[in-house]
Amino acid sequence: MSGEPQQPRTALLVEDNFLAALEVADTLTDLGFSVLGPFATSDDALRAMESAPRIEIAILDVHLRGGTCAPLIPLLRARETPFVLITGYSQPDLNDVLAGMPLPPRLGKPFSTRELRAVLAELAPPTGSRG
Amino acid sequence: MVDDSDPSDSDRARVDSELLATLLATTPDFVYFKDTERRFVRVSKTMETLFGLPEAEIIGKRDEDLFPEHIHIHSVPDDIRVLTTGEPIVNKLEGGEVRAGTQTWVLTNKTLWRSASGEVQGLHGTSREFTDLKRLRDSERRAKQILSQIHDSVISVDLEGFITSWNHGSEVLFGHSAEAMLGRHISVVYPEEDHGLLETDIIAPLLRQGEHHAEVRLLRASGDVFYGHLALSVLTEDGKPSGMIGYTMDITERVEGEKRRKLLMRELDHRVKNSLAVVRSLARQTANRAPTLDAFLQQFSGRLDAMVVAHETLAGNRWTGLPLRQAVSEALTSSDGVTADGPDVILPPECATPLCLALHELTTNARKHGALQQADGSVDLRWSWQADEVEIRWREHGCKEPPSNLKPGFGLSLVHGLIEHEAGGRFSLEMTPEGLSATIHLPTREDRSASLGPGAR
Repeated sequence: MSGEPQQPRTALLVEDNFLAALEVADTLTDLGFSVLGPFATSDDALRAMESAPRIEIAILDVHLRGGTCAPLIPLLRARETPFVLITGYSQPDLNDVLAGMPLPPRLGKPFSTRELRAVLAELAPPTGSRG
Repeated sequence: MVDDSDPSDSDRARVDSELLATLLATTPDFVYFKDTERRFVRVSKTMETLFGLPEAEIIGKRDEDLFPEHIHIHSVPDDIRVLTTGEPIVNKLEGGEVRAGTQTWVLTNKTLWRSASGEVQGLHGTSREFTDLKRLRDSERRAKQILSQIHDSVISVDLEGFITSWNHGSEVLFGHSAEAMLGRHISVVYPEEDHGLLETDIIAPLLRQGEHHAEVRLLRASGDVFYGHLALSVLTEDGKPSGMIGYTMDITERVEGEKRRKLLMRELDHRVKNSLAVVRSLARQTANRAPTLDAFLQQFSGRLDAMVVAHETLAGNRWTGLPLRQAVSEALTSSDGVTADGPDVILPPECATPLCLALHELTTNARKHGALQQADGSVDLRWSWQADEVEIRWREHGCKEPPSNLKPGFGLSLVHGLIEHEAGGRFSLEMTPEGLSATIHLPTREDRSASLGPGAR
């Protein structure tokens, strides 16, 4: 990233597995994001979202400690925040969690850093590349 | 016959004699007269056919001369009874193999034969062939017997669905007696929410097709629901439907097994994918900080081993929880100098990896920089209940020169993250003059603060 110093963009990371979260957080940092999280429960993530002015992208593990990420989705949709689901479960199980909500983009575990980068580039392209 | 020499009487006698001859020659029944000595006097044509003898060779003989023993052993006492008591034999089923290879069954009537003056002359008998009817009756009885004795449930209902038969297998399967069920509507064995289904998915297609198979939920007398496979047919009488009959097989085990298997497969798939993601991350995180390839291999395989211990201990407890004592002894198998003690505690499954990695990193750290590096150093590992948490204390003793400032390496900060983030616990480190001291708090699903059991403090 060259040119004028930019305010780092914020990525919300919700993943209850610490090692998996570390990996995603590293990639986000490499891409110039400031990482909000990782959070292991949807309650913790909701609290953080309330005080975060702007979130460019959210990365959500579907199954969290004590529940799923479903409580976060309405707020993300309301704020028009793009998000990606990461999960080891297949689609039919996600339908249970999402309860009829349209299926957002998702990354099946285990995914490579390259796959994660590709999804992030699509959902939250670097501002510099927007012409 | 007595001739009173009255011409009208003699005419009548002639007619009577003709009528008798006609009757004996043409009746399809077995008709016979016997004297008081039980000897045949007259027999019908059918008797000649039965014995394969002309009447002349039958007359003068008794039952015991003509019938096999298994028949005359019953018929002779009957003759004697009629002759001595005068009581008739009415509709008695008798017979069997009269001649080799031929079964003949008859319904027999025997009555006393008196002369016009009332004197006993002998007896008269008529036996009507019953062989076909007997076969029918026997097959009906056999069918009933089979139905009552097979272990499977067979139920018949009328066209309205009211129960008309309920065999022993049904009594066993449903727990209702036949007595209690005959006349009741078949819907009583269906859960209430499936009553609509009974009409639309079972009775209607059955009546339409004549046969139907279905898998349904059924109710036992106890109120338990089970899964049944139904094989159903329409019963017909003279070509018209008269009822329905169904065979029910309990398939609960199969259905439950399928559900369990699907769930397990899904769960296994999820766990494997998650594990691979974790291993990938563990490899990268370890590699980022390892100075050499050898150091990486050593650290990585040590951490992987700790995860294997977590997995094996959890799997050994069917993934329901982690018995702390067992996890500690597995994680510390090759660690002399650590004494461990505490009450029996089962930790939630999500504590398994964080705890086993914590024990691994603390041991590795103590071997490299702490108490276990020194000949007389030791570690005290104790745990106890603290309300709804378990507190695990790792105390190193006998460090001659404990590092003055505490700067945990990647291993211990990894443990910190795992305990706090993944297990929802707390992890703290402290340096004492004796050596490193670590305290782990892990949440449990039981609260021991109210009832202080043995080992609680």
